[in-house]
Amino acid sequence: MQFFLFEIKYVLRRPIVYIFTAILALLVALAVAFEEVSIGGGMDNLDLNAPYVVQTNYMVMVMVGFLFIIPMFVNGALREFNNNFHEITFSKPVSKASFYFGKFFAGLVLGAIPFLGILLGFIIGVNLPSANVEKVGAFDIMPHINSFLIFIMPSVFIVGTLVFILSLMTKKAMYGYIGALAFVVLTAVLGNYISDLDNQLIGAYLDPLGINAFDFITKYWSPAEKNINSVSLANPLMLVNRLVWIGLFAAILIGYYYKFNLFTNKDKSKSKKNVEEDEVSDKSIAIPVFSPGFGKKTWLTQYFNSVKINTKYIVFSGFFIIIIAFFIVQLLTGAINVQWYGISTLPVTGHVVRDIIGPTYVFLLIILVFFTGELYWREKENNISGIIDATPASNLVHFLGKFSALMIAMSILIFIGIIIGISNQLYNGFYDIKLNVYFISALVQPLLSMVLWVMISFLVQSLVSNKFLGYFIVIILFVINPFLKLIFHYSSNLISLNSTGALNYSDMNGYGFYDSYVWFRTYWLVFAAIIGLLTLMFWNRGETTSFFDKFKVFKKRMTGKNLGILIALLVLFAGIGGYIYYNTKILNKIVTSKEYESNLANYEKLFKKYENIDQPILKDANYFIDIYPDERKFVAKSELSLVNENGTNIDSLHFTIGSEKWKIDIDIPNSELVYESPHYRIYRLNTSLKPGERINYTVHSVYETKGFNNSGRSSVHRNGTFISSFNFLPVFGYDKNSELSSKSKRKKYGLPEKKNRVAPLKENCGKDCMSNYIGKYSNWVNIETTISTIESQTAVAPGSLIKKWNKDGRNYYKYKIDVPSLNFVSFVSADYQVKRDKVGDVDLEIYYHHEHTYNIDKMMKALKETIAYNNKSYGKYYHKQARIIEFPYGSYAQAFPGTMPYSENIGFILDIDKDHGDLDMAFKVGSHETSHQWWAHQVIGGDVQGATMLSESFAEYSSLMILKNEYGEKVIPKYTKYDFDKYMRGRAHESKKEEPLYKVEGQGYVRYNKGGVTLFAIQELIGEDNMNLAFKDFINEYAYKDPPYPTTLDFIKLLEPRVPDSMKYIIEDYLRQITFYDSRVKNISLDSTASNFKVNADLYIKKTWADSIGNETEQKLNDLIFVGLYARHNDKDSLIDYRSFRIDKENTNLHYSVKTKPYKLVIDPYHLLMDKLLKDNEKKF
Amino acid sequence: MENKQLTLQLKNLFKTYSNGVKAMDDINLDIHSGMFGLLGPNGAGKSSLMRTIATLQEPDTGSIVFNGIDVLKNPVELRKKLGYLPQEFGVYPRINAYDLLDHLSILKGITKKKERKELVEALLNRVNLYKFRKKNVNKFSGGMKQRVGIAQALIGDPELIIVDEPTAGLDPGERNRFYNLLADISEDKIVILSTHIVADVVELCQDFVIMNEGKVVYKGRPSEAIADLNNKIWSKKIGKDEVAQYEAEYNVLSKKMIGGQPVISILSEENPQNGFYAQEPSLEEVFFNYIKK
Repeated sequence: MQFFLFEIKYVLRRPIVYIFTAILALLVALAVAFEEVSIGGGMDNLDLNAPYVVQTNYMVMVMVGFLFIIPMFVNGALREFNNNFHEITFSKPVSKASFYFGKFFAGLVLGAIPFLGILLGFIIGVNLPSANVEKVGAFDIMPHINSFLIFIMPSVFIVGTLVFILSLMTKKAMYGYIGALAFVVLTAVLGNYISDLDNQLIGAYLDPLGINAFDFITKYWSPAEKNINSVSLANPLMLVNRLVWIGLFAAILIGYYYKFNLFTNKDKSKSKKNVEEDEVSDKSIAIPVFSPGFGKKTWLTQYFNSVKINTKYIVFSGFFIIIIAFFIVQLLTGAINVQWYGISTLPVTGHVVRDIIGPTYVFLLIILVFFTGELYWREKENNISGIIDATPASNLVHFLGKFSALMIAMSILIFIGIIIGISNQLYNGFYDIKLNVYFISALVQPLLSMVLWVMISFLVQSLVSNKFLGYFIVIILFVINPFLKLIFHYSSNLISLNSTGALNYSDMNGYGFYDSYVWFRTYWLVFAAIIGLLTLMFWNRGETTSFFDKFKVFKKRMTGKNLGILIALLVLFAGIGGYIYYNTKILNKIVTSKEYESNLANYEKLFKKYENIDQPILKDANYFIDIYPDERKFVAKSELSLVNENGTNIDSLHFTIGSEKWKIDIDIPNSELVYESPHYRIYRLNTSLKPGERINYTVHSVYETKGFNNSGRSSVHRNGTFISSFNFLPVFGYDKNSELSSKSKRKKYGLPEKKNRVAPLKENCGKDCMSNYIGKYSNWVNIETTISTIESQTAVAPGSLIKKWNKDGRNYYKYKIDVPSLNFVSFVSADYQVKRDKVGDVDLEIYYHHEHTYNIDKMMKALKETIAYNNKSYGKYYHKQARIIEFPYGSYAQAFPGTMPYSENIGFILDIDKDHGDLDMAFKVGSHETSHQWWAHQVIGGDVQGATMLSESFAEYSSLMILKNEYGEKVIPKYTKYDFDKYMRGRAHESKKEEPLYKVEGQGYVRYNKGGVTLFAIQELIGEDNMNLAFKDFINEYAYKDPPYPTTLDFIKLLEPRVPDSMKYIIEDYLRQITFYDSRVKNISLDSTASNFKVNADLYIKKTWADSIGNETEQKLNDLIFVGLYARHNDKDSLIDYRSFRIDKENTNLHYSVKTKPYKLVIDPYHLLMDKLLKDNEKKF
Repeated sequence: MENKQLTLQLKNLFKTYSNGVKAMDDINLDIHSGMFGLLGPNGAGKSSLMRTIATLQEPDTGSIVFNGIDVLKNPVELRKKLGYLPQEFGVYPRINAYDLLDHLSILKGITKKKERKELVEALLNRVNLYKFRKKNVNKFSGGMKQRVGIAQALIGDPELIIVDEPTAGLDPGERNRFYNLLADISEDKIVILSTHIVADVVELCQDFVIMNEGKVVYKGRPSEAIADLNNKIWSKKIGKDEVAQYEAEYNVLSKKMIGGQPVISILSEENPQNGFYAQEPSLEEVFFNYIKK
């Protein structure tokens, strides 16, 4: 008892516990108050203090908390030993139990106290001014209590036991730290291993910190559930997990108690002292006299010597070695980089570097903070500063030496990362290793960005009198820095500490234009030099003094030459800053997000009244494009021809100019500009445009880069410019896509609440269906393009290539579209290789970057197969060509008429290895995008809810069908399984409300993932031919037709006749409702006879419909459910029987026979039904 | 090789710490070549003064001039000629004697590798640690560590050597050996030795001062200081319970125990009779005499 109380009182008298509580409170309060930052992500539809959010914070903060949990136990265990007081203490009558358990439980209490900071943080955070009041729920103490019970106390107990025992065993603090870090590493490795879908339940048990258990339990909770429920010990999975792990470590704790001996000899490490000699001075030995030098050569020698000893100190210290080990493990476990659908990209250098950079920055920071403190205080702590400071070596030698040593240590970490990266590439048989990319992106860029923080950290250490206070301050500064941007609403990199214009590497575009990066980086390096100079002026020499004395010394030193240097640096800093200001704010513009939002709000307030005016419809567009990649210039002249298709006269033309970066001039003959604001223009026509009349005018658009901008980004690239007509054409009339969509933001600016994101779906759609969701006032347009670029590049626009010529050292191309299409046009220019093929009489072309040859054949095959299949099944492809074009950056693909631009990161560098059962995503994405040529570019939905089902879901469906035709039905489950998972995760993070498929609005997880699977499911039931006939009818009726555009209701009308009466329920369940099935195999048995195998199975199936926020109601069953039987041969499962059963009650018994011996039975093996728990859908015989 | 006359002048040095303690209260001293003793009880201000001369601490006011160098304005100039052995010093962990001396040689400006090697080896030999040059200094005994300390103070042929309480914690044998070493090196340098052990001053110093509570209370030579007290010191063995009574009646300078019995020494111009016997004065009596005031 004695030790328990003493330890607690002793530690509580010191600031460390309060400091950590404050740090945690600060971190949490900031995260709560600023929605832009969240710990754990994806919390949009949740209250700021929702139980789920609260618990996630506790969970994450345990990791942060290790920083102080460990010392609480280490210091507790070793306090008497370290102060050499133990011999006194233990010679008194103390009991071993009192010491052992007293110290341990003191550590437990002390380690847990700072987590109360999280509770504080939530209370403070929701009251901060920037917190969104609407999203604050009632205060609930339960999630806090539950978190303490399931996360904090057990984790502190477990880690504490480990650390406590290691410390007592070895009597050295370092082993306690090593043990804890090893524990964290192991947990992380386990965590990575477990994140594969199949093992999740095992993973939930295997995790000592309870994180996987928590994830498993809440994986599919809807936002409604997350706002109310918290995970507690009442949850059996969590309870078992905690009991098991606490029990295990309690056993270890008690076990060691019996082994522990209070009186072991600590001093094993002190070897016997060396024996003295008699004679201590040999007078006969003359000491040679060398005159010390004090010039430049001396300085250099001293500097290099300082670098050497300080580097050695860092590199051989236990902490550094632990950090490196941790870093290596982190990289190796993350080295299996996973993109979507569980496939990796090829280890191209650019991607490998991107993967190692994230952990690199984190570890560099840890090294930076820790070792600046250690290096600065090293001489003082070793009590050698008296001797060192009395030598004539200058402060500069010490400072620069330590600085350089730190940079060298950081470089070592980076080199290790690079070696791991290169090894990863070689191991995967990839030999295109770009050392220059490693050098710039992995070495130079991170090192340069650390320099300022190194200086700041040294400055802080030189100002404080306590190393730990210094750590605290630097960490706080670092944490607060990104929030300043949010609080004070600035975007300029001149103010945002250490920020620069972007410098990203692309295989296609290399480093692009990097002047923005270079200027900003130089600017901040000069600032770092100023900080360094100040550090030198405060550098401690001799006795540590009060801050007042330090300032006296500073004043004394900051004279003469030093003052001159400071002034010179300040002048340089201001000069560079001025030049940057001129470039980024005068030649270019910076729009902060706040300004941007307020612009949108004003736009809506001023111009929404024009939303439904009559405007002419675009009929023909003739584009003249000139691209100047090296000058970052793009010039477009658009000759537009429109017709008044309304019944009334049109007196004026309205335009919305969205972009700040393009200079747009509209040249309308016989008109007058009567209103102009930055974003809206009205031209009054001298004579009204009568119904049926045509009007022609020209739009001149120029994108010109002067100097450099704040972001470092450009729309025109050196290689790989990709610009669409959306970028440079003004929008006709009022653009409702420019309205603010966030509920809280609309309220903030005094805008009325927006009922629906999209116009509601209804039977007689009326005006809303007169325009498609791509653009108002434009239907099917004749498009012609004349485009030029530099000689070394090829320019591509939609349509057939009519003519190609060269003039004045530039390449010219003329393209004409083969069939009037949506005015959604892409213009691309790059240095391409082209692969050509043909299917029927359609030319197939793939334009790609010369290095990216890996998947070209697969993509070509996808093109071919898709066009063949879709042609046959849905309708003719009218363009004479189909093109895939590669462009740099991004990770998306799009479909324009006859053209499919793909990011370099998709498709072109996927690593598909069929032996590993990877999904052929290159093929799938290829066929999805190509299918858009039908679904969107032939038939486009009206601008109402559900429109995207007609494009995205249909395209997804088509790609699944083509995959099935190419690889057989057996591959489908892999895709549908991941689609389903994406759907479920997407809806768990829904920030507004979920709609059923036929009414889908913006939700990607519905229109892509759920949509594709659902349509495929319908096809499984009614048959491929019937399904495709429905699509064919749809094409026949609506392809290329003038408005009114179709809706999902129109498609359903065409689908219904193809659905047999017995299956009509699927229209309601699959399309009109959000339907979930809860399926379970209760019992199965197998009866083997001579000729066949009799299967007997008891199934439980329940069907529910969910509303938009996730509340579910049960529905009556009368459904066809597929059941599959798998056989196992050589460790591979194969489907041997697949049939459907009509199920009309919750509990059903099935019995039937098959010829082959089955190994397991699976309900819905193709994952066509939305079922939250897949594990219980199958059972082995 | 000139035998320069070296001088160190301390004028009106004052230093008060923020807790009110007066570490230096108007110190004025002129010091010349040879061993100079700074004697005083713990807390007298000796270390503060040593650190101040060694350029590690700034006085509030006053000046220090060493051979024409204004030390407070140009500390670097003094450091070039300074050797300093602090009161308690540590070393980097896991560094051996050779590397430590090598490192300090570089810091003192001896850059050529060959010169450093010669110098370091000579120093190690001189203090008889050559055998242990590759051993971890942290594992040295107290005496050996002090020898390393004095060896590093000798690097660069300094003209001013400051040695702060060098024999505290050494056993008598180590202390003797250390004295011999010190005596050997002090011929053409100023060596300032601060200590609270009276015997150190007696054995080694030509001149000395006594410091107490930041002030210099006595300046002179040991022999003279002792001679001043000739025939003025008287001792008597008394009972334990008599001590208070005698302290009230006489000017008691010190109390010793011999065989468990107190023996007091008093200062008296005349023979006090009363069982007192005449005592040869030692520097200890001088010390207690001046400390008392």
